[in-house]
Amino acid sequence: MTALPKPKSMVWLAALVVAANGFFPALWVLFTSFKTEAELMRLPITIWPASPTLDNYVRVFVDQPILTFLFNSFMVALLSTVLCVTVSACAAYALVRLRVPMPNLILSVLLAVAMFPLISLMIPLFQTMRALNLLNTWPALILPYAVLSMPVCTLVLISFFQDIPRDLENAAMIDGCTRLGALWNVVLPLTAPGVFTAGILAFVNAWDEFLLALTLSPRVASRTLPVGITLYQGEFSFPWPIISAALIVAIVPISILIAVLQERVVGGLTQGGVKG
Amino acid sequence: MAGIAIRHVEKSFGRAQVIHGIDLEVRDGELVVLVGPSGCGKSTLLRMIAGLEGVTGGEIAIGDTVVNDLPPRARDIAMVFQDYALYPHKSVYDNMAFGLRMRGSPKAEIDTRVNEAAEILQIGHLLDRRPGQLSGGQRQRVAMGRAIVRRPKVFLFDEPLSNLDAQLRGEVRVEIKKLHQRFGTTIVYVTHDQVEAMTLADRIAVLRGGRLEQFATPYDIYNRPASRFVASFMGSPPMTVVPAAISADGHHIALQDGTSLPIPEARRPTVQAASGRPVALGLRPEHVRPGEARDAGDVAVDARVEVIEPLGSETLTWLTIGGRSMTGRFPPEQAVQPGQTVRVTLAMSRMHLFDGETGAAIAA
Repeated sequence: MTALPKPKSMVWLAALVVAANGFFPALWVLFTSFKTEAELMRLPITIWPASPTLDNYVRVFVDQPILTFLFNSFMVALLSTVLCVTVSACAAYALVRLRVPMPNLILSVLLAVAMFPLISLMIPLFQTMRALNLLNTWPALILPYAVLSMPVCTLVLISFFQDIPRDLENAAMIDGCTRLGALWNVVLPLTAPGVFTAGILAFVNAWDEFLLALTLSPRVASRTLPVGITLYQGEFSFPWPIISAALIVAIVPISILIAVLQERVVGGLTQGGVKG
Repeated sequence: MAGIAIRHVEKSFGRAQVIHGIDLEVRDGELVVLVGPSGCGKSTLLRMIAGLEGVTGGEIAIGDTVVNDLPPRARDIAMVFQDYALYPHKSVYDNMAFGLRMRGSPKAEIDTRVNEAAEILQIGHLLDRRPGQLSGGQRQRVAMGRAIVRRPKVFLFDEPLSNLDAQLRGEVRVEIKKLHQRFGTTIVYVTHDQVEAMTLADRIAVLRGGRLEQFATPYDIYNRPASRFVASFMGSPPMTVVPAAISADGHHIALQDGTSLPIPEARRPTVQAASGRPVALGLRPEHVRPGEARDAGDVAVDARVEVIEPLGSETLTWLTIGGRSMTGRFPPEQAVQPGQTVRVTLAMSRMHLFDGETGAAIAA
C-alpha cells in the first residue's frame, strides 16, 4: 500500500470553502423546514431549530397537491430522459460508426444548439405547443426537455461509443445480431456508465426546470414540482418554512436517485468505455 | 462445410481502389492463408468474405450461395479477430454461447456444445470468468471456442496470433492446425507472418497492393515463387535478389561488378530468352554455403563476411559477393568472423531468375 500524500492546509481550506458554499444553502433549507415561522423571523437568528416540528411537512402535503406535482415531475423527467437518451444514443452511434457525411459539422451544430439561451426559445415553443394543442400536458414539457438535453447527452455518449472496439460489434453481427442487435446486446451494456451519465444529466435538467414548465404547463393538475412549489406562497405571505419543506420533498427523490447511481455516474464522468 | 469462390472481386473506398479484381477458389475443407505486407488488402478481402465490408465489384460465393448481399449473420461463418473481440461484460461461457443463443438453439444443446468446445480447447475451468480475467493465450482460446461452437461452414481468422508472444504463438498455431485436422472446416486465415503462412496453409495466397501475386502450395510458393516479390516476402531470412545480366549465349550470368557465374546446363534453355535483358538473380540463404563447389552446377566464389548471426542450429552469415549483399546459412561449427574472406558455394542449379523490369519469374 502506498501512503497518500499529506493534504496541504490550503487544499483543505479550499475544499472547505467549496463544500460550505455547496452545502450551507441546502442545510439552511433543511433546518428551516423544521422551524416555525415565528422562530425563523426571531432575532437572534438560530441555525439549529429550537423546537423542531414536522408541521411544515404536513402542510406541504395538505395545502397543495404536491403528490400530483411529484408524479408530474417524475413522469415528465423520466419520459423525457428515455426519449432523450434513446435519440442521443442513436445519434451518437451514427456519428461514431456509420459513414455519415460531415460528422464534424453535425457535432458543431449540436454544440451550437446547446448554446441557445432558453428564453429565446420560449415564444416559438409556446406557439408550437398551442398550435399542437399540447399546452398543459406532459408532452408539452417532455418534447422540449428531451431536445434541450440531447446535445450534451449525444456528446457524452459519443466519447463512450468511440471507446468500444469496432470488432466487438462485428463479432456480434457474425454471431447473429443485426446492427441494432449489436448495439443493444454489446455496445449499450458496455457503455452503461455513459448511458447512466447521460440519463442522469437529462433527468436532473428536466427535474429542475422552471421557466418552460411555468410557461407551457401552468395548470395546477399538470404542474411540475418547481412550478407547484410557487403555489405555497400567498398573495401577501411567504411561508418560508413550508416552502423549505416542499423543497426538501423535491430534493429527496433526486438525491436518492443520484446516491444510488453515484458510482456509475462518477465512473461515467471520469472514464470511458471498455478496459483491456 | 463449403468452399469459397472469389470471382474478380474489387473493393474501393471512395476513389481509392484497394482490391483490384482478385480471383480465388478455396476448396471445401481447405486452409488457405492470405499473406502479404501491411496494406496489401488481405484483411479487407477477409472482411468482404465475412460481410463486414461491401463488395464493389465481382462476387463472393460460399458453397453455392452468392453472398454479396447477405449480412454477416446469414453467411454461416465464424471469425476470430486479432484483438479477440470477446464481449467483456459476458462470462467465457456466455461469450461462447452467444452465437447459439442468437440462433435460438435449445439450452441443452448450447450447454453440450460449449462444454465440448471448452474441453477441446482446455478452457473448461475458465467458463465462469470474464475475458478481463484471462491471459492473452486464454482469450485466444476462448475466441476460437466461440467460433467452433457454432460449427459454421467457414472459419475466418484475422491475424489471430499477432498479439501473442513468440512461444504462445507457436503453441496456438499448433492448436489451430489440430482444430483444422479435427473438424476439416474450410478456413481462410490472414497473417503478415510468413512462418504462420508456411506452417498452416494448404495453399497460400500472396497479395500485394490489392492484387494476387501467387496462389499455390507452401512448397511451390517457396521453391517456385511466381515473382521477385513473392520470393523476397516468403522465407526467413528472405531470398537474396541481386541485379544481373545474362550473356548472349545464355551460358553465364554477370553480376553488376562484372563477376560472371556459369549457368548450369539444364537451366540454359529456359534463361536464354532473357539474354541481353536486365534480370534479377535470386538465391535462398540455404543455397549459399561455405566451402568449395561439390555438385554439378555449383560455383565457388570468394566472399567477404560482414555480419554473423549465430542461431545455435545454424549461423546466418551476411556476405558481400560481387559487390552485393547476400545471405548464407552456415553450419554452426563453421567459425567465421566479420571482415574475413571466405570461399562460398552458390548452388546455381537452385537459382531463381526474375525479369528485371516486371519482377515476374523467368521459368525455372
